[in-house]
Amino acid sequence: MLSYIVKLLKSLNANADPGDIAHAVSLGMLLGFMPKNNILWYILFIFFLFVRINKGAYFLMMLAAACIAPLLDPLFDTIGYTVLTVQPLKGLYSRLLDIPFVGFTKFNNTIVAGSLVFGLILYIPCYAAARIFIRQWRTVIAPVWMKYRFIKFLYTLPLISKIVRLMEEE
Amino acid sequence: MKPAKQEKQIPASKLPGLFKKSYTQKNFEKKILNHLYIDADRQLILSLFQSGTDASGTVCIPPDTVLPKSEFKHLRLIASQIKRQKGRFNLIPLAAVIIFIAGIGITVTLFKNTFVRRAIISGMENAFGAKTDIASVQVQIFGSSLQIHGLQQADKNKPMTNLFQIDNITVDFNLTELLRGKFDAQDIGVTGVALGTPRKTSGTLPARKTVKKTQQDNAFVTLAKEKAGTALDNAKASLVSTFNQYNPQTVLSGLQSRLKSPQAAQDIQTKVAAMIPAWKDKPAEFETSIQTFTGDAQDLINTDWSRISDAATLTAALEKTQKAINEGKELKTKTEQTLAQLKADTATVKSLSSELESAVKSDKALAQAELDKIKSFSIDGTKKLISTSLDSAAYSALGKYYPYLQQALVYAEKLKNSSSSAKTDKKTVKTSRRLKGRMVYYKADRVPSFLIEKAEASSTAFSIDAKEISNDPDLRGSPAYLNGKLFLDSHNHTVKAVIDGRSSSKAPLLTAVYSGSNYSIAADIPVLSMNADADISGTITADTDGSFAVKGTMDMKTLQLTADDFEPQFACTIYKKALSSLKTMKIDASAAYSRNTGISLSLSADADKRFAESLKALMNAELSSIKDSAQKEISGLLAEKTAGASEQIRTFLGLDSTITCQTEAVDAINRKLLAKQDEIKNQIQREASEKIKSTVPDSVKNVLKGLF
Repeated sequence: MLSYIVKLLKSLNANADPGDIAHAVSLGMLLGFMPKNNILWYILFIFFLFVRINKGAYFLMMLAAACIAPLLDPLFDTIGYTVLTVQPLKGLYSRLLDIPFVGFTKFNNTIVAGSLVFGLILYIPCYAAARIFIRQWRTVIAPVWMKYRFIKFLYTLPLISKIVRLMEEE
Repeated sequence: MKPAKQEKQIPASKLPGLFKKSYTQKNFEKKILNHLYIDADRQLILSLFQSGTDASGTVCIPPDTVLPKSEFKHLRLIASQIKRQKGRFNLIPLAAVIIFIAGIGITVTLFKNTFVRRAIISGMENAFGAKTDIASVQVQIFGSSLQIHGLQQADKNKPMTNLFQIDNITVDFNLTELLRGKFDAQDIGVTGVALGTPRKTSGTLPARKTVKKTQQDNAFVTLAKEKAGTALDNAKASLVSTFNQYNPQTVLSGLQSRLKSPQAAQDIQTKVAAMIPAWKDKPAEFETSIQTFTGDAQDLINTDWSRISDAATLTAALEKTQKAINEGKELKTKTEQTLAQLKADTATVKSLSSELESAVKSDKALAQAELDKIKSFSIDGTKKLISTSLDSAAYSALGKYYPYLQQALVYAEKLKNSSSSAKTDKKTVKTSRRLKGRMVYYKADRVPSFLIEKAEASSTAFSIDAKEISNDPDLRGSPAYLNGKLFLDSHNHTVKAVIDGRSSSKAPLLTAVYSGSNYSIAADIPVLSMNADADISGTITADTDGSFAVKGTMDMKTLQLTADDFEPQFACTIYKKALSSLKTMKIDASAAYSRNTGISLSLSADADKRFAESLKALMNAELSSIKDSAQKEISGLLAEKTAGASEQIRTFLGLDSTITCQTEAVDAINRKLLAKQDEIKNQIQREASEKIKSTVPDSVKNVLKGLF
């Protein structure tokens, strides 16, 4: 957890592509919302590990999204059922289910489908919001942040100073 | 005051390559400035890159630039951060993972056949307890097919023989369903099946510990055994009652109250027995006296007195003879007196003997009259004799085969209960904060966790086809169908079975129609042993509670019927003759069992009527000889009953004749003694004459001659 936070902070304060962090946030949110009892989650998870994204943001966002996902399950169920019962797509879904191994994805589960669709819908807004936040962080928040005495005091604390040292070492 | 330490200076030539190159303004922005997101860093880079001296407008960090160490380190960090921004994918790890997955795929492809082959061999060896050989196995995962070639299963009891051998097995399964944890065999084909083929190597497996199951008779088997025993008793009773009218024992038993001879014999026996003690020692007493007398007389009788000339000897002999004659007379008088006394009792005994004879004669006449009443053989008791006899065999057969039926029902029930809907989930369910959601299907899910849609197996000896064998017939909406044909040792068997485990169905769990030809039938019960070739057809229905109903027909050809020997012998001979006259027989049978009603069995054989008629004809043809035989037997039985009295009479009359003989023997000796007495006298006279002649002068002889 600490290393993820370090990685994220380091990326925010370094010349890391804001896209890397913004994608990581969106992908983390997508996987965080999805239940893990299907092979689709694991395929996406492994695939995203090979994408150049900020792993710290990715895991932290996944964790955060997973925490709030149960609250959104009724919404996912509704969305999933709506998506899975769209008349023109029924044939496609039916054919997909007949393909070996596809059943393991449990795409025909309302929570899986709903969370996936919800995550995809939120992907671009989340991506945009993340980019805006990073820009604000780098241009406004971080410089102002460092001026506060309280923050300077914080940097003297052992844990924080250790984080800073780790960041610098990397 | 200590002067501040001056920071180490590093020449720009040691900077990373990214910062040593010259860039056009456009490239500078594209390759460096666009990758810098921190304003301070951006400003630093812009301050270091300066326009070159040439007219091309390129920018670069002048080579003679010297940088403080901290700035130098920061520039190296910026260079590495810029480098990291190349490409969206980390291709090398991705490629490594792809290669790893491909490796797994190749390994599975290479070893899947071996793995499946070993799994099948292991499973079959465990199931059959003997070696299993498989020539080759081909598994096509995406082709959803399994092919087994050259399967040989050794026989546990005959290691050098195969229980069965199969050339090819093809299983086409549904991979999609298999991946969902369901076995759906769409088509199973089995060809080239041979049974009992010889093996080249022994099929014995290394010894393993086996747990012996104690088999206990269930309620039905016990009931069937009881019923079989009862049926056998009924058959015996029926057979006995059939011939009872000719049984001398039965005839006599019927006449018991009217028979005179047994009572008469008893009375006579008592009376004669009372007489015998007074006389029984007499013959022995006389015998001793007679022997002593005979011994004494024998010397006198055997001596040739004509050769003895001694007068004194002759005189003494004469005296002895006279004495013996007197003794003999005395003995004769005694025996004659005893005989005279015995005469009265002998007369009484002879009278009793006559009484007994007339009583026996009367009883024989009575029995004959009873036998004479039977004008022809009655078939009333024989109308169901064959069926009754077969009941026992049928009950025994039911008891023998019911456990197999029960086992089949258990398997059917187990299969039905193994469906996912029937299982009670014993696993502790993990509590998840997430909702389960709903699974949306676009086709009705009609595939249970075990399903064989179609299966066929055939060889020259048999063929089997099955459809819709599943553990959830409710889901399939269809019962399982099984058709089989077996041609074995000139026997043909055909079975069509329907196993309906649907909860909504009112049909029984098992309905089977069977027909078989050239079936070898053998039944061995004391009253009826049977051998025949038969055609059998029947229907059986059975349910999960163990109840069943069977209805069938058995058409017997080349029938051979016989029976164990029994008494009376004439009845046994005729019964066997009548049985052997039956060469065909058709039996209609129905049997049912349930826990509430128990076993019911009904057999009707067309041979019943033919057998009764045959038996009647044979009995009527032999009626007079049967009656004679019965009469003889009755005479014998009466003789047995009067044997005690007859023996007593014989004993008594024997005493009389013995004493008479003894009297005659004494008399004979007496006569001989009298003859010897005369002989001695004559000899004395002769000897006296001779003496006179020799001693007296002739003149005296003449005088004497004149005197005599």
